[in-house]
Amino acid sequence: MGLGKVGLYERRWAGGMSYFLQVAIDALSLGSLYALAALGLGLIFSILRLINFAHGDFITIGAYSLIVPSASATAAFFIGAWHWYAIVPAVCIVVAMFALLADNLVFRWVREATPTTLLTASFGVSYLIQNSVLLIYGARPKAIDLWPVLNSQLSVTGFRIPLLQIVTILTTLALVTVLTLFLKFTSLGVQMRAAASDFAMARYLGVRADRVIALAFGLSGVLAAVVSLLFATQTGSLSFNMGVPIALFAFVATVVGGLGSLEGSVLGGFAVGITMTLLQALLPVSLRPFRDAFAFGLILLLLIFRPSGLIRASALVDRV
Amino acid sequence: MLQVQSVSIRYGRVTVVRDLSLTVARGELVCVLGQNGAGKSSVMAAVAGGIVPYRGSILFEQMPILARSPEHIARLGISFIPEGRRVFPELTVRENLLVGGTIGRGRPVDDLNEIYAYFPRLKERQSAPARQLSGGEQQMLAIGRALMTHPTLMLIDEPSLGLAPRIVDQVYEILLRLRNDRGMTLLVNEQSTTRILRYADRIYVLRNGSIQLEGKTEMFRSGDEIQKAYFGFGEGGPL
Amino acid sequence: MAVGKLKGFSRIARGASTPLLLIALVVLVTVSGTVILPAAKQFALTEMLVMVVIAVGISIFISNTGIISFGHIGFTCLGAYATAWMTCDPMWKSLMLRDLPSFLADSQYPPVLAIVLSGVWAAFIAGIFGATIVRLSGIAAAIATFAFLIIVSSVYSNWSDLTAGTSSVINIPTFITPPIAACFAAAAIVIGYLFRASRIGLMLRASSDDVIAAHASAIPVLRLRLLAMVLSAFVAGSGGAIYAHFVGILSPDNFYLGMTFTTLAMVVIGGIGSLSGAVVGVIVVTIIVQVLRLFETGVLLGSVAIKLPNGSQEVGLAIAWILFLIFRPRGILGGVELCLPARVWARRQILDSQLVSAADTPRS
Repeated sequence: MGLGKVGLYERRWAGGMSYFLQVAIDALSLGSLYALAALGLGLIFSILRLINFAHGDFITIGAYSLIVPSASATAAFFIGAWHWYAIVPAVCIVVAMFALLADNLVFRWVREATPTTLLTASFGVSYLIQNSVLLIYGARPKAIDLWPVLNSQLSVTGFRIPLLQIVTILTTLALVTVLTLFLKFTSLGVQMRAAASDFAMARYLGVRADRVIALAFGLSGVLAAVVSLLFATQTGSLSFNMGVPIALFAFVATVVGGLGSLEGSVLGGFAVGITMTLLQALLPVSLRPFRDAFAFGLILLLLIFRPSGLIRASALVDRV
Repeated sequence: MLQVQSVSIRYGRVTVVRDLSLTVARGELVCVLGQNGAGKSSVMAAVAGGIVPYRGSILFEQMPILARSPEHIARLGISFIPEGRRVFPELTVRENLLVGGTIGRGRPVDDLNEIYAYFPRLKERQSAPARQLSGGEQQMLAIGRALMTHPTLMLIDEPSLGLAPRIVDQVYEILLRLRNDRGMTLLVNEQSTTRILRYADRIYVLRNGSIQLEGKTEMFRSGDEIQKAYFGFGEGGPL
Repeated sequence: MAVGKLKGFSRIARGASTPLLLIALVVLVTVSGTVILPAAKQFALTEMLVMVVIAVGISIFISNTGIISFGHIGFTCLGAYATAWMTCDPMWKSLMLRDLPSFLADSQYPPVLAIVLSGVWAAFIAGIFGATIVRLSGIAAAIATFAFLIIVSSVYSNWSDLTAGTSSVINIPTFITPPIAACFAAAAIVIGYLFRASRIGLMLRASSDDVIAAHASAIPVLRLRLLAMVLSAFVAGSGGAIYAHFVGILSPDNFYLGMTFTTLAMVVIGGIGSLSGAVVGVIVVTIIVQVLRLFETGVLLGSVAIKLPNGSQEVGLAIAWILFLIFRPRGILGGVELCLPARVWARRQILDSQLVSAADTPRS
């Protein structure tokens, strides 16, 4: 039993102590999702100074890879029909490949360009992916039922918590830990951090630019794939621009946490998730539809008063 | 070992290096002297692969290396320490050195121990983030990191910049040790000549992108010639 | 002082071949389009001319300040809805748009006046928004403009009692025919040119190259940027109002990422650095889109029928955008203004391409 397919924000909360617990879990779960998405964005930005508008569309690709390409209203599972431990790596590989393709076809050719040109290039890639998905799969959202067991609730000491949220939180913790270990203790990881710090200097020391960049895109793709699976399970629906809201908030998260800092991206993701959940809970009902406006209003304020983000100084501040 | 032939470098419409040629023979310590903006950093960056000259050629061990990528040139045995040291500030001393070990000729641990033998201070501070090091320590770190790539030619841009005289002496002692003990070839950019005449085998004086003077250091005992070439007239000077 | 004014006037006069050429181009396209195209395609022609207004508006900001703005369609949206508020039937307004203040809800204003006032309204908002972001660096400013777009879109999509939300605003008086749209386009071009050729425009472009040097020369960079934003919002907002009177129906979805991409593509493909780039870009992109649209409905080439799937025009435009960014980032005109005599224009082209190839020299 469970609440079935629900959107990110429509929930009925019971009162009292379990209300607080549910809000807390909601916040953490949403924050986890944004943290993963923000981490994907942050990885690319830290090395290439590229804000990848197309990251949300990588998420969309991941979700659509589950079904057979067709424009019909009902979706037939393709990869989605496999066993879960085949689905996860398959989707990860698909999205990682698309990310690498985006780099090879587009971003590689504008390496030396100004940050704003990079921004517009990724904007173009995003538009391309969205409309390609539209072209192939049609405009109508499709319903899917991926891993329905995750939409049931877990009973923990008398409280009911959706299993999916627990999985989201745990998955995020696991991925962040693995990534941290990778960056700290492996040779490639140290190379990546060096490249993020000073790309040119790293190259002078022999760090292979193309390898590090490919790794960044690959990892970013994997993170996007995980987000796509969690998100698709949660909403039960696919649409050609489903990744856009996540990417927007992930983007907010990276700016909040400080562009260029990976820890900042993760913390920013949680900050955004918590803020949005609280806004949803505390805003009067009439104002709730405007929470996107609020979120971006906050980002504007942050840019004005603290362009270096909450965590670390970065590439947004003009240095004289 | 290194031959720079008629190289010209341009940024947009500004030519910063004009038809420049210099050579460095194996085991030499050659110094390029010049003021800010004379073009010496650009030449070095061009050798290291960071800048592509629009004219000329660069030969390393008779092999053309112009327009090769920096990582490729590093693997050929040329190590570049740019101006300002450019250590990776958030990485620890050890991690900074390990990045140098990327090229991986030997086992990283052995290489590390060798570097620590040269720079015991780095071993003491190996877990500290590099930004916490003093200027002199950062310079040692930069040199150690470059050594980790097993170079045969080291390019060092203004090693004395921002360092106290005593530290500068230490740095040059190390460079000399590298030359004498390991047969390292060194090309060094400097603005000030006080020390370099003691250490360098040959010098070039660069002004406005072209070489004004070159020769063995023993020929320039008086320093007047150097001043003239450096500034373009006789008054005031780097000595 | 008089000498300075004289110099300024002669500078504006010398470059006047540019707006004249552009207006001539617009007129040529309008006339030939009206004559050649079937009635069904006149719609596309008018739409193109309206886009010229909006693109010129965007270009006033981007080409003079060097900052890319993703948010100008927010001003377009503001202008479009403002004119709807002013010109829609009061009975309908009292029914659907309950939050409108009475001076809007109870009256109907003449459309041309409404268009101008809509531009003013957009400019007013730009003044407030711009004042907060002018001191941000290039990329932070770009992000901020994107945030602006989303805020406007979110507010307009959800404040149903002011904007009818996601259901459309209908029954806006339509009167925009190709000749009328062409007049508006010409007006926009003149405004764009005057700003560009003025001392303010010059100072702005100089400071976009080197902000620090500009500060040192006592150029009030921030104030000038704000001025550019306000003026560009006026033009883009008026463009939105004209668009509203052209289609007659409005929905906030019209003024979001789709139109942002299309108008930016026009400016980028034509050439970010110049006014002529914006105009030429509109024409080129319109041609590309129309050709693709034609292929979407099916075309007979000899004996082979080619029909591209629906959605190909957007995909095609995106591919064109990307190709231009890679191979010709400065756009078709390379940031150079069209002008007479032709040999001056040719010389500018050569100088400019020298700049571009020389700038490719450094690697890292």
